[in-house]
Amino acid sequence: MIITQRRVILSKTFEGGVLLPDNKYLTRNIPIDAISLPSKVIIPFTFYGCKECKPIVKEGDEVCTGQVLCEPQEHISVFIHSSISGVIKKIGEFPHPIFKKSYGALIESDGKDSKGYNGGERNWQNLSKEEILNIIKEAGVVGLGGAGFPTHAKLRIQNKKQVDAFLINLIECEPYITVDERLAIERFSEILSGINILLKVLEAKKAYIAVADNKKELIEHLKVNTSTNENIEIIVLKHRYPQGEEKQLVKAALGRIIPKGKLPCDVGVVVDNVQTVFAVFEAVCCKKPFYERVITVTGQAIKQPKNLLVRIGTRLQDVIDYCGGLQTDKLRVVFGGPMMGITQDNLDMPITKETSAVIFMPFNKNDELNESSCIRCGACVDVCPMGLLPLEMNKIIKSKKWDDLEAYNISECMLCGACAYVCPVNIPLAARMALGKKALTNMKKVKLKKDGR
Amino acid sequence: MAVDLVISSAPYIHSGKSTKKIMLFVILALLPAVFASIYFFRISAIYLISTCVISCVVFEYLIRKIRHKDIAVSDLSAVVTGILMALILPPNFPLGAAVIGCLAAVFLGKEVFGGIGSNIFNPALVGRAFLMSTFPVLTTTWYEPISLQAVTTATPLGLMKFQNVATDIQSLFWGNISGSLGETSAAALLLGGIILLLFRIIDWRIPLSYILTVILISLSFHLVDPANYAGPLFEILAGGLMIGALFMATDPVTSPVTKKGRLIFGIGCGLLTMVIRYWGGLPEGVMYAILFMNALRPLIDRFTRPVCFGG
Repeated sequence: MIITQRRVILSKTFEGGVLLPDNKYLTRNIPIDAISLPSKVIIPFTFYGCKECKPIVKEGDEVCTGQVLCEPQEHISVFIHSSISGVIKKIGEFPHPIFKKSYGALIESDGKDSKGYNGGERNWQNLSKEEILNIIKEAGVVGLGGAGFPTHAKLRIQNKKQVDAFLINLIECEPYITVDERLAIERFSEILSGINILLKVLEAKKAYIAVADNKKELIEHLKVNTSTNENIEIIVLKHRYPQGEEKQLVKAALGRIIPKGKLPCDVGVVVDNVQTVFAVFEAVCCKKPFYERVITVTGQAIKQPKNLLVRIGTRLQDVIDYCGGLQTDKLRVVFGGPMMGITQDNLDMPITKETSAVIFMPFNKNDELNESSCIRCGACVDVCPMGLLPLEMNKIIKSKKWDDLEAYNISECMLCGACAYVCPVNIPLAARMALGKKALTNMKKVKLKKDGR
Repeated sequence: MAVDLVISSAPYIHSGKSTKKIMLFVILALLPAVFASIYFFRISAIYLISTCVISCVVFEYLIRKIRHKDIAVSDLSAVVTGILMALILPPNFPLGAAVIGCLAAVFLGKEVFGGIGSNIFNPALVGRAFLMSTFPVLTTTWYEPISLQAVTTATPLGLMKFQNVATDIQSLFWGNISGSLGETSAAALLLGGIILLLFRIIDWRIPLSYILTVILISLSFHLVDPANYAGPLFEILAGGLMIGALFMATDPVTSPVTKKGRLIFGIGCGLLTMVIRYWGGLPEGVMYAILFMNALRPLIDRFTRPVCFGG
């Protein structure tokens, strides 16, 4: 094979955004560790934008690790598996980190962790595109960057459109989180196979790995390990938040601008998180259903920050216990990053497929931010990566004039929180935008209903 | 151990930026001009600056109290208004009149609209404009620097406009000229402006477009008729241009929030300043130029809405 030097384009970036203290030192050099088998897990049956799945098991059933619990009811949905072996104690409503409450199953472990699927190697080269897509669906792989959109559905939409570039998102622009970086360093050969599998599915010629310039060690690692792959290019982007957001990423990495309201596939690109690629590899080559994922457990309030391989459904309490307990008794527990994550107040909260990190942040008196009136400094406008006017939208949302919101393109806001981060008068801009987006969607629904009659 | 898990909305980290911090930087950036004014106008500068700062703070406190609003004095914006107010008044200005000016600045300039953030006009300039119309003689009585001779002299802009006498550039740059307290030394103001730009307290667009516009206009007139029109260096160093472009026009509350809007705002300020200087009845036009552009600010913001990503 020809060894060619990979072309590394230095420090591309996007407009707006903020430079955040990245705090990744807490876990950056800690190898991935597997959590001890939990005594019970809570497995939610709800996913991104789809209806709750119908379980095919019932209370009292014995299940094995990797056994199917739910079959999908619609196209944009996936199979859901048990993450431990044991007995289903209850099927009902449980806490959920994103939807607050969700239908799900409580499984009590028998401590054996007996496998309920036929593992073993499989050669992906002989599989057809359709076969691979079905494997991904049956394995329950979803987007692991945080959104949790079913991967097979994302790959299938492309059929009508021409995709020529597959972009692997290794930016990890949220502070604290190091899962993707660790995984790429420790399991790169598997990820490479995953990339090749997905290139075949997408019928794309080239894969691009986008990485931020604050990960020096990782960049070196990637360069060494991809030197024989001509179809892979490494793109180094500037460390800046929110570089990992799809639109900013595609623009900075490939110079393609995704039009308003469109998706990456409209400009011939599919973007996947690196852990998703790894999950695809495991599903296709190891015949392993997706029942465990790597998360970063970190923050100043946890005794031993770690990069952890956890079973889906592991409760927060088990994670805390495994990481040595808490340092403070007043804190914020964030599922996801400190910019876009969600705070949790229940120690029974399960880790779900969407959880990329659990951050334990000490909460002091001066962390309480008091909102005062806008001084029109324009800092939010300067940092908005989407070119919006957060201060104007805030005014409209506060006065509840929902009709005016659309003109300000609020639907383009992805709630990255850069505006709230820089606001000198502590207006919770991200929360307000979320409120505005929700109100606008509800209003549209009502309108649709009226028009329907 | 009972743990207290706090629920709040994202993001959970903050830059630490605050109005108070911004104002602290502005005060820091104003210090060179304050020291220059004390050097050139001696004790009268100290009296005037302290009177203005104290009265602005007290007025803001009282007005907020009467209106049963949160006391926002600790954000230091009243201190900034006070310093700016003093720096744009002539030395030896009667302190009683200065207090009235400060009341106008805080009440008419700011609190009448609902406090900081809601005001349309720069408060210090409102105060100054108020004094200009109530005490027209006092606000145009000038003194020589250092000696503070009671002999009234015209400012360089006045000399140029009415007597066609040019002041040398060096005196203009360092501030050894008659004029308002803090506007005479361009050097001190530039130093302050550099501090503001370096710490990203202000955007470069307004001062740059403002000053460049003034340079372009004065240069073209100077080239055509050098006998009657001073050169660009004179125009940017004389009068209130530096303090206006760096500290007044850049007031976040009363200037546009969009990048394009800021450029238009600066160009507009420069244009109006020169129109007043050349053809108006007054020797100086910075104040009215900025106040006029303040009034246009909502319109400018409206017509320069940025195009959203991919839109």
